[in-house]
Amino acid sequence: MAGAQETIPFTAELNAQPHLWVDAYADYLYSYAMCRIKDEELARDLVQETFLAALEKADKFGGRSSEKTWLTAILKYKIIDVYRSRSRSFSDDPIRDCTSKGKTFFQEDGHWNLEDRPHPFGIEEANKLENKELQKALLHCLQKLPALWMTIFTMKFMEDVLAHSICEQLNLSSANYWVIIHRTKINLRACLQKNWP
Amino acid sequence: MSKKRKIANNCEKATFLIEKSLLGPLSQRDNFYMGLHLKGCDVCRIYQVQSMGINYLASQLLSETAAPLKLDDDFKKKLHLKVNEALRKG
Repeated sequence: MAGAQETIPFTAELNAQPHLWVDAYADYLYSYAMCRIKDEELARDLVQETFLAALEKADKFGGRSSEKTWLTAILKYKIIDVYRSRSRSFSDDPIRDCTSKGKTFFQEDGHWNLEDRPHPFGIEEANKLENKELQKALLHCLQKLPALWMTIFTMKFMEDVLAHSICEQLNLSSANYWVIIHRTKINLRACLQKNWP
Repeated sequence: MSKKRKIANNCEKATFLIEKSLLGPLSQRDNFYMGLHLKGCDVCRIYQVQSMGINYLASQLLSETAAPLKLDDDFKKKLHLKVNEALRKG
């Protein structure tokens, strides 16, 4: 697939100040990468790659966004490349993969299994959603998901990537995308119900 | 069995529509079927609220975990050298 950076808007004016980038943005970009990919070495590599990729296009940076926003956009696409490579640990048929790894929560007629029925456990109240421990519990549940599901969930619900872009980048049909979103959410909800509080 | 009756009794299909509805508008027909199911299904109404909560929680995860980190000085020096080298070549 062509480099995602190509979609970042540039103009032909010269406004970037690369000699200041390391001092001004390296820590910020490193923090941005670390909270998404949780891998120090990879995060450092991505910061370096971001600067070098930006340098190649520095003459095209037109100041329509701040340098920080521009560099972050480049890094974001590099992180999406990481998500994509991490999601490759699934078979050629993502739906079959989902079925084999996923628990069935419904009976044949579509009703909830008795033991899997949702019941109130605290996340129905808006004020509980600010609870840091609950956020940790969600992260814990996320990490139990198959790689592809976690990738799609992260891209959609955390990075707010558009559905058609996720499908394109992960080579998924729209139908498969929705099946995976559904199964991911069903599994996450069940995991939280089981493990929270 | 009519489609109306099928979806009215099918929590799996209803939860699928709930997920779609949380990310964008449903077709008029799907919206009707989802509403019909939710009118009669307390369990899926709980699911709907909890699912919205999970979406909100997820949207907060990156901002909440984004504690500022610092790269060590050695790495920054090397990074400076690489950037300067690339600038010279550039």
